[in-house]
Amino acid sequence: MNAIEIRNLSKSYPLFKVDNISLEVKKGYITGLIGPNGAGKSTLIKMMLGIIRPDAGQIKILGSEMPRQGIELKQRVGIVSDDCFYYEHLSIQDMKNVIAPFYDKWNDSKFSRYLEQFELSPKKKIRELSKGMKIKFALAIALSHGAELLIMDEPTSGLDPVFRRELLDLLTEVMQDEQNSIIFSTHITTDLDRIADYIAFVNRGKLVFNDVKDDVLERYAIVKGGQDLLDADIRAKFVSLRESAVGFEGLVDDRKQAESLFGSYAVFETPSLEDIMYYTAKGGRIHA
Amino acid sequence: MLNLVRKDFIVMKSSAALILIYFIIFSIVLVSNNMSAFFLAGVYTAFTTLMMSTGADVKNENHNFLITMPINRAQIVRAKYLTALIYTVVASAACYGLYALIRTVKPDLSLQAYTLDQLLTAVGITLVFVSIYLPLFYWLSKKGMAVINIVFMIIMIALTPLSNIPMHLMRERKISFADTTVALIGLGVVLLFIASYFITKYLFNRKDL
Repeated sequence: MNAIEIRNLSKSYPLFKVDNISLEVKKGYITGLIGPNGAGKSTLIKMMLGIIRPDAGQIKILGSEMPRQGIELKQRVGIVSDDCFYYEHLSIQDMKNVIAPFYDKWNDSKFSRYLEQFELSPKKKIRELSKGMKIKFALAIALSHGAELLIMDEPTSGLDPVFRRELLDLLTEVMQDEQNSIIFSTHITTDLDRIADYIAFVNRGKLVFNDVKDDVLERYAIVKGGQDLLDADIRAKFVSLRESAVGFEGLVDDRKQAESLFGSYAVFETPSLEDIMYYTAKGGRIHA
Repeated sequence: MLNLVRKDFIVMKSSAALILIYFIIFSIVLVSNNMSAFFLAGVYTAFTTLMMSTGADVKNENHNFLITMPINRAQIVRAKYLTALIYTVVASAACYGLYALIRTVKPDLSLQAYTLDQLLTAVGITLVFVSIYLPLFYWLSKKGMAVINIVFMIIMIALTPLSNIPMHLMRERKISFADTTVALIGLGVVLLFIASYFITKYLFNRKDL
């Protein structure tokens, strides 16, 4: 069962386009949506939420079609974004009074508990909140109406390490209910190293992969060796290759193939998500 | 949709005192300068309140937040039209009430009675303004809002002297609300308001926020 199903989604701008993306986000898991800044992560999320109208394609969230069944569907979805679009002149209490009546399953005592946990005063105005506090408030809202799916757009950017860790623990807690799912867009991949089950990588408006995190880390490899190991055919096997006078270092997306090619003549390392993102974003040959 | 109307009133709560001050200033200016156009105090107050309300919606790109709640774009537009209607009725009624109060408290001012025609004219003018303003607002949003507001302010200021002409004609010709022409104008205003809603809904539905 998928929490999100995206089919052939496209959106064109004068200088950028989201190009025919199809993506499935599994229900009951945390999916990290990674990619460099400007890769199309936020555009993709905004299209899921109906903020941006796609040029083509279909979006199904929790089995309901967007935007046709959006009203019923959004009862079950919580949104946390680093962009805070709340009414800045209102207090947290007023903002809650605006939001709560829209949700059938709003839980006031749960909301108060989260405010207490996040040390947020209901009297505080939204404009007085720091970026981290705004994220906390958005999270308190999202968790107080029984959302089955959390859509989080760069929630950890601008957060201090203490709250970042706290947030990740909280998300792990949310996932104790197997019906819940989270899609978490970020360019800070270390957060996903800790909690993500699946990784969807978007680069230049295209989906590079969407796979189980551990499989991705097993499949990719950083290969290091001497220049004498390279020729034109070998170079073509690399996602990205960094050459210097003394040797090379590159990313391959088929570790087994690379191991059979280089044998014991090269060194193989397991890349981090950041390595995969960096090398793929750079692409081709990088001269050191 | 009622939750959206409620949202508008919560958002505007902090501006209530300012709106009241505007209403008093508009009333004082119009009573002291031009009695025949006193009903415009209702038009100005309702429309200024609407502009403040739309301003609050785009100040921090709040549509991006609204659309993530369990509502659709058509409901956002419909609620804004309903809110505008409420502002119009309340402001026109407040204007009527204040005028009646001034006549009672200050009989020496010899004010003419505030007629039903004037009350309906105030409502009609406001609805025409709303019908033109809201499609432009939802189409141009934050980018064009400053320009739209300035243009509408100029039109409203120009309205004071201009409104004397039809009101004078209505008094001279003793046209009453029952008159077919006035009734047709009223119907035209209602149809314009409804058409405006559908145009706005269409524009806002297609828009990227």
